[in-house]
Amino acid sequence: MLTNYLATQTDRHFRANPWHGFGLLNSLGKLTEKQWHRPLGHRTVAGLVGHLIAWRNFAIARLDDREDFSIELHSASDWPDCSRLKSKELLQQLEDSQTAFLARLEKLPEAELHVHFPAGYAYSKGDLALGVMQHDIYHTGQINLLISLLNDQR
Amino acid sequence: MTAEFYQEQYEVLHRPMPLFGSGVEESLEPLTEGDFHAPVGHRTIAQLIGHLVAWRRNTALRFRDQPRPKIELNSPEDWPDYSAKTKGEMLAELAETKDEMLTALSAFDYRKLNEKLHPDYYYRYHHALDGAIQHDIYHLGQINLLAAVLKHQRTK
Repeated sequence: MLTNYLATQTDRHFRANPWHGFGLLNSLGKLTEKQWHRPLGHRTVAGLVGHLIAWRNFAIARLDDREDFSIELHSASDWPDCSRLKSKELLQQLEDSQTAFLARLEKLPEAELHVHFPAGYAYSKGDLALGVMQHDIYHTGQINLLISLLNDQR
Repeated sequence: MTAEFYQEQYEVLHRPMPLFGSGVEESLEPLTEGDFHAPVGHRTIAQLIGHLVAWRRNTALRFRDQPRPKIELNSPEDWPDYSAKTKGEMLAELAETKDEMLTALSAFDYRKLNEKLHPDYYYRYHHALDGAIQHDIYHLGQINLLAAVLKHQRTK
């Protein structure tokens, strides 16, 4: 039941328009190629999307009991350089990570949601899956504000 | 979903280092008084806090089945004027409305999760419970974006 809840919530924020604002794909679909890479401070939409993809891939690996993918905070693995990637490539990577994350959730037995992997880590697989969904929401808020602030500058 | 599940989400939101980013106090305490009111484009951190507090108060009344004022989108009730609020007042309001939400989540009758909030609209109470916490996370991300842009401007 909790895995269904997580999958439904994750997909709603990705494809639909949740209560709090525009969903991720809706917001990204309105951008020109230039807007993807235009900085506000040190942030770009492309950079934020690259960060989301990295953490989704991290969660997929951990839910799969794999330790071959790790992220060091504030490093290039946390914030990959997306400055040369076209929006089409980033959108494809985002879609791929969405498909893989939902497929992994579908296979996850409820009992495994309470398992901590690697053992001894503070968070369980359920916490991680919920955390990734909320991470998407947190940065979707930033992406939507970034787009709106860049539009102010026009 | 249970009261404990939703209450834990508010605890996580206010705790340092949630998995999704930075917690409420962790994000706001290091900021100066000026940071709260420094505009980045059309937005300030104080405005975002006012918006969060307004919706928390209104939502807490809804979950406790109390009469509540209607908030029109993009009205002054939706985005209250927080330009005269101090950092201390804003942090206190966030702490106070966290407690209001915890109380309301405890008082809510979870047998109503699938009931519609209003006969003319599709959404049900479970949408409101999920939406309330997700609304906070969404705007907390925005607060941290503004804080990061202000910091970047200072170091340029």
